[in-house]
Amino acid sequence: MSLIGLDKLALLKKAIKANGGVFRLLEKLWRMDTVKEGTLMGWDSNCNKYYENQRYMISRSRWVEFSPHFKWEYDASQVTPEWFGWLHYKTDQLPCQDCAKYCLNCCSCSHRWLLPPEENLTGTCCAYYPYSTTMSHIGLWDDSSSSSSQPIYVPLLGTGLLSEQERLGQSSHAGPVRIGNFTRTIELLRRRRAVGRPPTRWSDDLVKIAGSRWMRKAQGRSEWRALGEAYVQQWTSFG
Amino acid sequence: MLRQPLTRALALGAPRVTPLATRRFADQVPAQPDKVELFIDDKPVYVAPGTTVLQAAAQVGVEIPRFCYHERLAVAGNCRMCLVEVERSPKPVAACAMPVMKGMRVKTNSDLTRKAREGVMEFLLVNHPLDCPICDQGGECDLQDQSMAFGSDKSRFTDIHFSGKRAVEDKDVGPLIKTIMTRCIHCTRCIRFASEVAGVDDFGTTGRGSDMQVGTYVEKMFLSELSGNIIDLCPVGALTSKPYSFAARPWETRRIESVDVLDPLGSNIVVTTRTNEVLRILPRTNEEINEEWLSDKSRFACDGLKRQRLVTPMLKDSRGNLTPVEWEDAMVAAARALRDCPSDKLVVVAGALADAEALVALKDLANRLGAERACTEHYFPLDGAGTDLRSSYLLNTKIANVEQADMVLLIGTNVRFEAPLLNARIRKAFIQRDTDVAFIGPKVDLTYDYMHVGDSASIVKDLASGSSSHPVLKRLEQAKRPVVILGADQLQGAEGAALLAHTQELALRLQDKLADPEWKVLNVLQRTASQVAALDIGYQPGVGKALEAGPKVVYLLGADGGVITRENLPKDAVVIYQGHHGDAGAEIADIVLPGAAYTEKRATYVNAEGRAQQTLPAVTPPGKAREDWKIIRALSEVVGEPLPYDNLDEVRARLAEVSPALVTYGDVQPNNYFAQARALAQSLKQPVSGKLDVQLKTLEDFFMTDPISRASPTMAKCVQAVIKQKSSPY
Repeated sequence: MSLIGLDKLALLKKAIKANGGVFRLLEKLWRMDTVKEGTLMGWDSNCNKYYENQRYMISRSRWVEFSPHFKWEYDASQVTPEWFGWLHYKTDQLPCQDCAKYCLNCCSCSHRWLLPPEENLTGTCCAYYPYSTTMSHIGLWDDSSSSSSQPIYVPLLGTGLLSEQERLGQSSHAGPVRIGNFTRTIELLRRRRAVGRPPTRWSDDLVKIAGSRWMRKAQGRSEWRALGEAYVQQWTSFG
Repeated sequence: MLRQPLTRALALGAPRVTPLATRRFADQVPAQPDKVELFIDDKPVYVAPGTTVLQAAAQVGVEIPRFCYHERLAVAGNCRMCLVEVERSPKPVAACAMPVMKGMRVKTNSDLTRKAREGVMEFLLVNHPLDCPICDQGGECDLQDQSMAFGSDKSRFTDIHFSGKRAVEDKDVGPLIKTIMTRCIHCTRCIRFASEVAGVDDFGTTGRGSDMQVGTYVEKMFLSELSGNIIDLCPVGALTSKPYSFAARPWETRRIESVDVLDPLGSNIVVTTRTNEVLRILPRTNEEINEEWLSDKSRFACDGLKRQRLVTPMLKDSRGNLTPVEWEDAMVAAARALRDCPSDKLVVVAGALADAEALVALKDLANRLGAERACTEHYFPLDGAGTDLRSSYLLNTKIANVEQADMVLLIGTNVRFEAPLLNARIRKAFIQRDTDVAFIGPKVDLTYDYMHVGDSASIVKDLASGSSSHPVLKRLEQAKRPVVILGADQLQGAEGAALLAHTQELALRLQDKLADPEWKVLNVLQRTASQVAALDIGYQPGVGKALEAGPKVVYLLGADGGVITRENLPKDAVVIYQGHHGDAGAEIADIVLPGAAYTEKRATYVNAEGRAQQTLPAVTPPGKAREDWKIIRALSEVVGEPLPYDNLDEVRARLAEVSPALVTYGDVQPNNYFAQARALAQSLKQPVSGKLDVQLKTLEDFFMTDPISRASPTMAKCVQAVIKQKSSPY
């Protein structure tokens, strides 16, 4: 059968069946440039579907079918971190089989600082632009209190206020600001930077692993190395 | 003891004003004898007798190193850096103090000269700290440069334990000048400047030998409006700028030649910028205007350019607060206000810092809308010739020529604070040419002695009619080169026209008798940098008449003088403010259009003499601010009356149409319609009875007079420091 290529026809038939009809298949071909069939291994929080078919060669045997709501704007960074390792053959365990991942994402003790995964926004209107945190050398007129001689300092990004205004809104992590909504931008500008300690410090993890007296423990090299391995293990086991 | 420089004692010898009868007139100088020949490095040079070897060498292009010598100050001859070998002289001689002699052979590059220079340099460096890396003078330091060029290539300095190096306590001479007195090399330039040019005899030396110190003896502020110049004069880093300290190095800055607008003289300046920020302002030599000096306000108010700025168009919202908007919104709002306004209810007011391009564009726009009320903040009498004859409102003598005067009559103008560099010229004439100065007005300190004639305006009338018995009249009539300067502030009141008529009469009566037909006597000293250009373009002086009509729309072009307030406008009047600083004008505005300051645009300013000069853009206007004439041009498009010029050249062509004098940059056009003005003013010679008063009386009034200097923290510190110093017992 394989000599005359009938197995390809059988595969095509299987694929048509798995994809739910000829038209669905053609739609997928249009969207993904390939026709594949395999076992659905799971979904992620973005509703992306993960498939496996060992019949394909390695590196093609696991794939993701991006959720339809991404339309044509699908991007590799929409794969969530817990699926990333499996999809790239770093691990054979599915996320649901990995205890550490399970703990990390589902337990009530999950890390406060762990933000939900976010796709790469480069090239979109929401892209991140770095901005200067130095004070502008231009002091704006403060019309509310004309009698006070104290000028209000705002980060004006040099002098290019006009072209930078939309960037400013984004970069201050206060949600997107529409271009032209200058009043809002000014409000954001006038908001002073937060003072006080950040929510987490670099030593928080050290305290978690080695206790509050971690500096003392760090002096014993062998003990510290063991703790370090335990610490690293926590991350590598995620895949 | 406080040692006064010898030159001062010679120049200002006690009775400063000799009796009138014994005075020698300024132009009665003895005939020049023949020139003498001498040889500098075997090059023959002919110079007038009395010139020094150093000046003679400069004529043939030989630069002799110097620290204490300065062309505009008296010769001190104490640094010894200019030692040169003179043939048949046993010792090297100081070139700056040595008068030339016939047949003298000077060697400026011989072994003896070089050795002498190396020796002097070694002595100077023995007691000079090696703190060039942290010294603000680094990169523009005469000592650095000359030790590289003329110093020894090896050191004999062995005091590695730093046991004997001289150290001097720093002085506090105010908020502008930072002193690091250990660096001082005792050139005494600052002392000579203070006593000769600034006229504030506070500096001197105490002690001798290695204990010698330059200072004020008791700690006090350097109370002068020209104090910043000693920073430029100091050849080392002993006197540096306090606001500019540790800000930048000279090689990392860009220098843009520009013109100052904070006083009516239009001093030439260099704006030093880095990273789109004005760092400091230095004087640029212009012998016609400011020589190489600069007043403190012009020099140090530049930090006001970074405070209280208007960076975005603003509209008043429903709650009466100005809120930032886009240019389109502000333009549409302003255009709507202009279009809906009846043409006789539109008033345009130009402020102190407006440039000629914006002035002409705004007047053209107003005229196209049918409005005729384009006016300036400062009043000038319109009776008689009014502003039709340019000579009536200019400083006709010209700033540089004031030095040649032998009699100066000041009427109601405190020149010292209204135009500090003009006052420096008068002082120069007073010292070098024994010029007499008479003053009518309140008693003020002009830094030199003057005859106080009184403060009543009727004195001017008496002088004009020749009926005065005061000796100053006789002196004026005898003078070969008299100068009469009338302060424009005196023309504000009801008697202004009469006072101007009397002053014209007095000046022209004197001028008729002069042997020199080119000498102009009549001067009116305007208060602002924009007034002359505005009057040239055809603005009406003063807002009084315009306000009587009850304007509906008031367009303020940088008008922050406080003559327009909400109280003297109708309730429903719309105020459009175009300018660069949030000040009196922006406070009452409904629509704010952000403009550019004088360091941010290429613009024409006409100084009090009628000399057109242009500023060059040193930095970009901040935020959404734009050049002023462009804003008006854009607005004219939205209003539907587009102005016929699209670029700066076309605006200037329009300026040339209005008055060619506005675009002849650097030159003063001669004005000669004095007789006509006098004839037209005949009917105005009413009796005057008021007292003449000046607005700026003391130093603390001088520092903050316009939106830029009012926004400047340095100027605010100066005012506080002066007030504090005034209360101190010294």
